[in-house]
Amino acid sequence: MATQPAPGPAVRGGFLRGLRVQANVVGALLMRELHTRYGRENIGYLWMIGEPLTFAGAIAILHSGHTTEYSGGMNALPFATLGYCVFIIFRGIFNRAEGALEANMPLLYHKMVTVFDIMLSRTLLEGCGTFVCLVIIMSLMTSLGFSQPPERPLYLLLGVFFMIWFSFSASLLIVAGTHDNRLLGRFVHPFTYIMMPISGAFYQMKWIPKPYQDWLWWWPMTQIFELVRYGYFRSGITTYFDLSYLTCSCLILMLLGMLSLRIVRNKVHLS
Amino acid sequence: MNMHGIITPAPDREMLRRRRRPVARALAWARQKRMFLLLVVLPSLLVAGYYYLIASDQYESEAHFMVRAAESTPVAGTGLGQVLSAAAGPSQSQTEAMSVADYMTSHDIVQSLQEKLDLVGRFRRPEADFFSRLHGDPVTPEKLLKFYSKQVKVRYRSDDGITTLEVRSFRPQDSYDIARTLLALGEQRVNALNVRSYNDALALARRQLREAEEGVARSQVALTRFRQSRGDIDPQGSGQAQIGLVSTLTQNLSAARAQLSAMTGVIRPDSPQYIATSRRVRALEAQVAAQSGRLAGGGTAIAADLGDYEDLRIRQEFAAKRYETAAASFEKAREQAQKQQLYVVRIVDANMPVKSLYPERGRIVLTVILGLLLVYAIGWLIIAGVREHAA
Repeated sequence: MATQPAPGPAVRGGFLRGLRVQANVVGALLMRELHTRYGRENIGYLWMIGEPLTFAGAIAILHSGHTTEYSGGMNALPFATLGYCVFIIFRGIFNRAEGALEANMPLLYHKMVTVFDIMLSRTLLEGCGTFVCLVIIMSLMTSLGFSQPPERPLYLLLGVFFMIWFSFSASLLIVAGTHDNRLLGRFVHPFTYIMMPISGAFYQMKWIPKPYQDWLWWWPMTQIFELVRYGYFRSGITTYFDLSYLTCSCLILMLLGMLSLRIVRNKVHLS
Repeated sequence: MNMHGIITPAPDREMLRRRRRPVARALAWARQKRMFLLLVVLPSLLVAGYYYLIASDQYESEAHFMVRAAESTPVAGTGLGQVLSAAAGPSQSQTEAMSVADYMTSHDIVQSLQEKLDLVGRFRRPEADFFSRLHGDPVTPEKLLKFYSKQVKVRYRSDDGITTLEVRSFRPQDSYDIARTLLALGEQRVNALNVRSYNDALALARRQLREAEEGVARSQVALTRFRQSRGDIDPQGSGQAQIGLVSTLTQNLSAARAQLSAMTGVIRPDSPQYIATSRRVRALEAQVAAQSGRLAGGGTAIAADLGDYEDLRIRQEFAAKRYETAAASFEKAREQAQKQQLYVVRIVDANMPVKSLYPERGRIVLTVILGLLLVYAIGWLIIAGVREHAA
């Protein structure tokens, strides 16, 4: 643990200055990430949105044959697409966490760039890109008449926020865990694949029979999906998510992630 | 400052620290930890102080009940089938149980409770503390409903179909009364629903039955009127008799004719015997013609009568058959309606609480402390991370 600087008026100045520097660092990292990943040819960094859009579009086309209506306004097509759009928020942040440190190792020569900054900038980038993609694709669906506009937009935003937060916390753990453990890194992608069917992106909790339902309830992702659906669909239900539980689990995960980063920080060898 | 200042402090400073009073030292410590004290210790103390010193006891009365139709038993969800059938709506019995739970959390029942029990007064007992009592003067129904839904929890469990009712208030007796009244009102509502659906289900069958009855009566009246107007109780019987009469007459006529033709060659036509026989033949012929005419002739012929009579008889038979069917279907409808009668089964009756279990002081305070610690830890980590950039 870093020792706290002595309290005093200098600290506040130090904090604010630190905040300014950190904001600059994160901004710079964002731009760098955009350039290194998408370059400048054709639509450039609009691929940030275009990439998930192609995925989600494919899913939407796959489900376009389904016209089942589960209940008031919850059609199969917007249901699956919304689930997938929220899921790629998790996938984008979580999958890219593995090896993020190695890719940006040279940057850590600079004293003001921390691992936390790298992860935060990536999370912001992925989160924003996938969220814009969600907005675009759902608007498209609404304008084509496949779905209704969101019923409770605030809850939808809250759900997306929770997803970004949860994924960010998990990605901190991953980046710390995979830094000197290649084996763990091998499991990140399979884990994401396994999560896709069981995370609640494509089913409602109320379809699940009782004992399993109670087990799934403890996994925050299922609750996040329920919350997102409650925000989007008129017939969404509040039965299967608990905001205080979600907040608590995300806080604990984030604390674990940040602590593990502190542990790993001392092990980073700038080779 | 000399080189050794770090290891052995200067003597004058040593003296100063020794002379420091413990109070000052405590203050210094507190200033150093002021964020922790402000963000974690103080709120925890406030919350604990409120719950342990101020918050009033609340007593909970609990009851369990089920809403069942006479025929159906609640079926627990089956595994895979339920998962695969995406559009699995709630079953009939579930809907009814939910409707009762819904009624129990509605403004409707709050109003009834207010009229019966003076809910506002009970939520404003003098022993209720400022933060947990019902405020406002006058209390709007919306406000009362909000408070009520905080104090009264109705939970329907879909896997076993049991509805749990939990009522909290500031006195054991109050909780008990409210829970009892809630159950009674729920039962009343179910009964009202029953009466209504029963009447609805039977209305059609009953009307059909009444129509059939009227039909039977009408045909009976028509038959009686026919008999009276024709002066004939049983046209069928009198038709038979008539046919018998005609055939007897015809037989007699043939016998008489045979006698006459036998006489023709032997006896002179002006002998009295011959005359008598030929007269008898003529008389019989006249009789046969007349009676046959009555059997199937014009106006008051028996054939016409019999036709009308048969018509009426058939109508009467139809009406009777229709009545039988209507009566049977009425009976069936009544059975069906009886089967669909709902009733509230009390599994656990409301209890009279003795010990106050709420608010759960220990749990709430512990939760607050842990939550604050969590937030503080994360905040500390983030701030430390930010400070690193300024270094």
